[in-house]
Amino acid sequence: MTEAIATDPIITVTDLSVTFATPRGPVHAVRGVDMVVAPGETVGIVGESGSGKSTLARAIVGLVPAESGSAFVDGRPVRPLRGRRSRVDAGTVQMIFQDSYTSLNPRQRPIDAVAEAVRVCQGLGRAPARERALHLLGSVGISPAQSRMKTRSLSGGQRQRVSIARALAADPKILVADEPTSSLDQSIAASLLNLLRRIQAERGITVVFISHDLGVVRYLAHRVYVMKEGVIVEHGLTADVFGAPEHEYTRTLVSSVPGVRSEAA
Amino acid sequence: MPSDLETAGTPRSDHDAARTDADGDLLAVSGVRIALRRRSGEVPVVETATFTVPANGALGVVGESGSGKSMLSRALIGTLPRYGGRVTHGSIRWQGRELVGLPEKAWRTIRGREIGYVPQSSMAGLNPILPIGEQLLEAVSNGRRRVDAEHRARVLELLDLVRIPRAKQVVSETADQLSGGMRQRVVIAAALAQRPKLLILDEPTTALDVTVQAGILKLVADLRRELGMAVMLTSHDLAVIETICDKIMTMYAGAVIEIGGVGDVRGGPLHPYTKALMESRVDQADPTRDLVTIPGEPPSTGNWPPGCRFWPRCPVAVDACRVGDQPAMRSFGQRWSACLRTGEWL
Repeated sequence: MTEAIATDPIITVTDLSVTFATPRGPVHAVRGVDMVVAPGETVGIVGESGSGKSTLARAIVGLVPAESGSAFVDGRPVRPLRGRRSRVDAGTVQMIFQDSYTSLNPRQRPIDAVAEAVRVCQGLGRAPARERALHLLGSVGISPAQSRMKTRSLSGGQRQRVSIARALAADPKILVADEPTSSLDQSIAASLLNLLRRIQAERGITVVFISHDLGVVRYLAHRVYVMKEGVIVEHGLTADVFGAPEHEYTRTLVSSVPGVRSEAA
Repeated sequence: MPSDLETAGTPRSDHDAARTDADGDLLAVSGVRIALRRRSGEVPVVETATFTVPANGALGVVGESGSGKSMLSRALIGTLPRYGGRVTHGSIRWQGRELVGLPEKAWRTIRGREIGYVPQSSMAGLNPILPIGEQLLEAVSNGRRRVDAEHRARVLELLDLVRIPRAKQVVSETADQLSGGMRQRVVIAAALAQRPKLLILDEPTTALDVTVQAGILKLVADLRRELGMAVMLTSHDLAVIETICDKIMTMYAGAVIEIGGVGDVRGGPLHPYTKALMESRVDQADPTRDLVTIPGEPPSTGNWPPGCRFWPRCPVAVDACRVGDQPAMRSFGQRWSACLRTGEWL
């Protein structure tokens, strides 16, 4: 597989396992995962529900503790969440989620949410922070008028843009996006995917994109990791993995995408 | 097993065979408008829907959220009142019989019996704590209190029909013991209990994983063929519709705006919205180029613009598109489009 990484990876995950204690016993959500991500690339993690893809993403960000193994992000080890300081540095990694309605305060205005992030992450004063926030919101397609509306009166697509602007306020090196378009209508999702691509290209930012949607990952990711039951079953260049899957599960996944079967036949 | 399938598929008598109207249509919807009761008064959610479903046909309804496709489905099984809605205008003829204005008691002889319904959330269709067998018995006996051996046999037959393995164990399990895909199969089994001639599925696979979705879509396609029934399926996903339907109907902001054969519409949509929907698909996009997008967002319910609902986002709109009512559908051979400029801009 020709997916050698020329530069030093910005994310290195080695034999990482995450286990949750539940009333029914331990759940091994992530089992012995190895993964490398080069600076500036977009890496997709695909899998179905329960595959562990979201848990893996959260472990990389430090939102869930690893049971064993290690994750290095930008040269520093990700330590399990302990209080407020042990998380990965905000200027290194930012995360956006599927549900922007719960990740943003619905009563807050976008300008306040983003300006607050700018103040905290960049140490700017009130006025310059607001100016920077307006600029960031504008760059993701939120007008000054929309920036001053309550977040809850924005559409799902607009809220997700606000989430992206807030993530960019920290000027992160890595953006981890967990199903960011999954609850959006197709025409809205398309413009958000264009936005993510533009941000990736313009800022040279590294993107880790988690999705159950093979079409979205095929379109956006340079390389892809396929997860099933906590394990990476296959990885490689996106065109290789989806074009000529080697693992049986990947083949099942690819052939399950509606419309594919009729075209192949 | 094959004999089970045959019994399930065979109408019990000639009397039960699908009756169609003069044009051979099982269902003929004409000029239907639906409104929801709100504090401010009645808000229209669907306007002038006109379409037909022939016996054994498979119609796919594609539309984004707020397009009115779910409300339209509910109108066809008479459950709009549960959502504070009603059909305000138009006609829904089912095997020649008018359904608009039908009292609830009469609906009970049609809903579930002649027209089956599968909702998006399989949990919504099932009681989480009642054993699967009990729920299917209810569907099979149509709520009658006396349940006999024939009913119990039919329950097992239905579980076989939807390809649920170890049916004899599943009858004593509850819905929350089953996977999402198995639950959806049980809901489909319940919907088939009375041998409906039309099965309406409202986003039946939206909450499911892609491998599970593939199984459900194949099941629906197989059942349609085996049972000789018609299917109407709503989805936001064009690929889902293309997999199992022969006709596609596009809805936008409460209006039906295009109807045509799946191959025809795929080959060249007549309405600019359908065209934009086809072009903004990520599953067939070139990864080296930006996705085609539709500027703006759909209007919210009740805030429809005058004229064609799509004109504020339309690349080919002219002055005539911005005034008057939503344009009526016009026929182009076997196809229909509500765009004033169809035939002009293509």
